[in-house]
Amino acid sequence: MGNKTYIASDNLITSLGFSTEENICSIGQGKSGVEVCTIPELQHLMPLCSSSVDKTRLAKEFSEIGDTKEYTTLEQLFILSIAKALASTSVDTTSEHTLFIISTTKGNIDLLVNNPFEPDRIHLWKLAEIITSHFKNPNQAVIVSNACISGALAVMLAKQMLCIGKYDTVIVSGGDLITEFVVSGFVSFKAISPNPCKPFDESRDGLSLGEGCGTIVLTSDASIAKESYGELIEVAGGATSNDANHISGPSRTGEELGIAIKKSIKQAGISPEQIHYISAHGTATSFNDEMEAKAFTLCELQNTPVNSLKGYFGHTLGAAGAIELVVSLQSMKRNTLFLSPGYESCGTTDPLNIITQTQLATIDNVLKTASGFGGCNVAITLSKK
Amino acid sequence: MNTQQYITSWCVLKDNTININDRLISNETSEQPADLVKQLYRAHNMSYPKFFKMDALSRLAFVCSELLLNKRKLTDTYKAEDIAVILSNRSASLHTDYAYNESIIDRANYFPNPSLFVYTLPNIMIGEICIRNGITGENTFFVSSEPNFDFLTEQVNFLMNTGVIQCCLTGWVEVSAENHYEATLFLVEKNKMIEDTANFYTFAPYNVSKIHTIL
Amino acid sequence: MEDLIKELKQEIIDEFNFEDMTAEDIDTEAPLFGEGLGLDSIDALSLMVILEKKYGIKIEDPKDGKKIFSTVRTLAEYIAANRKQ
Repeated sequence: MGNKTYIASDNLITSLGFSTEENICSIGQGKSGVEVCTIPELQHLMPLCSSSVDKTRLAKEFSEIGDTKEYTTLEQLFILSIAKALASTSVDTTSEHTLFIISTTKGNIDLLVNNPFEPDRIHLWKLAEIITSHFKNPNQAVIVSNACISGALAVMLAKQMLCIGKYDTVIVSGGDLITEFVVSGFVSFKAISPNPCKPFDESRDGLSLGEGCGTIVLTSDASIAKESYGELIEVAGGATSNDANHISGPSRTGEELGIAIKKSIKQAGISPEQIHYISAHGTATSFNDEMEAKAFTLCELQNTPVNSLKGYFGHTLGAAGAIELVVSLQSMKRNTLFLSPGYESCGTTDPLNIITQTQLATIDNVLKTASGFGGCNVAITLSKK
Repeated sequence: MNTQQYITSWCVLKDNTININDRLISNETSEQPADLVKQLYRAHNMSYPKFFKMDALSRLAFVCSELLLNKRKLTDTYKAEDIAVILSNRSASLHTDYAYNESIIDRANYFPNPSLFVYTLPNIMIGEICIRNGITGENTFFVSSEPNFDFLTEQVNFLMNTGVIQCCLTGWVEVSAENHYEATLFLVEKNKMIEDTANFYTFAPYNVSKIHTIL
Repeated sequence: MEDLIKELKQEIIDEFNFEDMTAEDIDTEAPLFGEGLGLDSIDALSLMVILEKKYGIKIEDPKDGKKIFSTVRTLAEYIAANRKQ
């Protein structure tokens, strides 16, 4: 017991590309994947913007590793992202010491309307089974479905699993699709902006939904990690908390997200001023961003450079934490702070240091936060070693 | 460094029967599990009007957690942020997913239902328990095809042994798409209740499975 | 107006599953949100759906809902003045 957790590899499949490199390149150029929604099945829900994965390219790339007819779109997305992340590693997925942690909010929910597969296919455990059996992994995957914190929470669980010591490698993958189910629900919440979302901005008026998959390969072996990732980065801290306030509205004080942040930073053995960058949840709803600003201020992080990546990818739900952690890791590797799209002027009671220009900076420690329905919050601390 | 954790209270409900700590076996009977849950709510004077706004899964989790805690206020013993709620099930929120989907099937009569949509996430029941009890600590929701008590005990015991949490409400709360109810909830603490000889269960997979299959 | 008020009370009971209540238990003049019936922000969204579905009234800005939904009476008066079906 007591093993540490290091990053060995990552991958992103989003509207901005099918590799981490493609994604980071677009972000570096200030490109956003959020645009006016052209998905035919969603036109009755307009006006709205979305950030969609290129399905033609997905099918084409997936056909090189599997039969597209045997897998749902989401399964293809997960498997392709994991395969790409593993390509640069020597991980043996058939080993009993390798564990998969799958994060999703709604999984194959599109099968609710039209399911050409067996009835069980709609279950999240079935989705995980399909993924692990593709990679011939002997272990039962851990499936976490904890609303919008799922992806980041999965990385925290990977840390716990590696610490316990039964596994030496954990593959975390978070994915979700844009479906009529989810979009109509957020429309009924009046939470969607007609324009690309503007996190933390004065004129923000709701979120933009996105889809994608983020995969992070974690190992307890520092030398393997350093060799395959180039830089030794540790998942040094992680904690969750609950608002205990309301099932859909965030806390009015930010104290509970503050609890998770403080625990996570403490676990990493550092102090708040050593955090060089915060990757916030920043959904661009009025209440979420206001709550986060309060929480960061309570934790004395109000001057730390912060962005929300929702302006690039939209809100990718169960994938968001995983996708945004990959970008945070790349920020660390490249010592680059990426601008927060859609932000012009301060729109929170407690002002934050929002990144308005992509710039070089020393980044040794990063805080990633997320909050979701059910009042859940998560905070992850990443540290260069 | 590993200390022992104890199950200080438990509650098992399966379709239309319930067993709490092997002592209180409810007299309530009902054809429908949803009605049993409602009868338990009323019989035990839980007086929490929000209960009626919850979906089936949250109602089940809520009633079982109330019976398990038996009016005990956990925040009197522990700091709110040291108490965890870690739950799991097989079908996530599928039962309510189907109900919500009904509201968007017909384009001519298309009214997406916000009060159903909010319950299309299984971790909402954790939120409901946290709100009721003022719990602000760790919360996680897992899905597995069958109860995975090896994993759950390992996870919870790890968090307790490392001092991340002091107390945990954990277990399995399932409402299937076919309307089958199954809940097994445990209160896990570091101290056993000395005066209560019925409750000398360590939080180990063997004991957990034994209790789970008691009905 | 009294018929509409009674109808609305039943709608509220059905929508929010207030099974232990009858229309007579709801005070026409009492606040719907906060104290009183204790409805919350999601319930406000659900009331908007009822307005649209049953009476053909669409409230675009959730902020407008605050005044309209303050009591059963204000809600009934708004519906009477704006209903399309």
